[in-house]
Amino acid sequence: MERDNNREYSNKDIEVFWRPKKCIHASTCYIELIEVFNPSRRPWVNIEGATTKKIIQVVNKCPTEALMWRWLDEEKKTQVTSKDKNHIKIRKPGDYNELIKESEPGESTDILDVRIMKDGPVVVEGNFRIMTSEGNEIKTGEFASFCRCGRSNSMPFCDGMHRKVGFIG
Amino acid sequence: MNQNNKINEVYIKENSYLKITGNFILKDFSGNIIKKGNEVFICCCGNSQNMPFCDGSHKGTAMRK
Repeated sequence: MERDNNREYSNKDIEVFWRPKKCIHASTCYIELIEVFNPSRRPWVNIEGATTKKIIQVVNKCPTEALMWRWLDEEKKTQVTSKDKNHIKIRKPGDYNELIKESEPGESTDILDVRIMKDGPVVVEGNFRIMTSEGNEIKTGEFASFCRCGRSNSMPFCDGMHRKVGFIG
Repeated sequence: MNQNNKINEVYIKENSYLKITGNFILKDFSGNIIKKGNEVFICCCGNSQNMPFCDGSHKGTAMRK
């Protein structure tokens, strides 16, 4: 049987799930909250490193289902907690806090959200296709994380190598 | 919903740049808008002096496979 290396971490309020195979190395978790999510440490998640509220905030920013969470409390468990896949938020230029439009779950939007991660990949979110220089379409997607450091072993996608090679940019 | 049929595209020039076309908003990590546009070249060789944009530095590097 193939090992998936999935992990669960819990504090007194919540349980955080780690699904390494889903990770696209967007780096959001450790840039925002190194006290909890530190890839150089084992175990890499220190669930006591921040408040529950802060952890929930950062886990919700994970662009994939690699990090998810749920309440431990039975009553709260029934509430919708984890993030809604395909939920795209379009924000006002210059003001990240103001929403222009928010998609219904499953609705596709035109505008691509392209984020340059600090010292890491470029994360593209929206509806798009990926073309190679030979003109082949390799993938149609909603989320992808592309290598910017030039050292990935799974080009053109990020595999987390930027951290090992100390990429700055 | 879709107001036009223009397809968003990420074009991969291996070990050189990513060309993103369509209708996009480019942001830094904090969510500040760097650029709104229809075409951008993002460095993916790691050598640009004008990050995150391509400046042609991939030419002459030994990064090509």
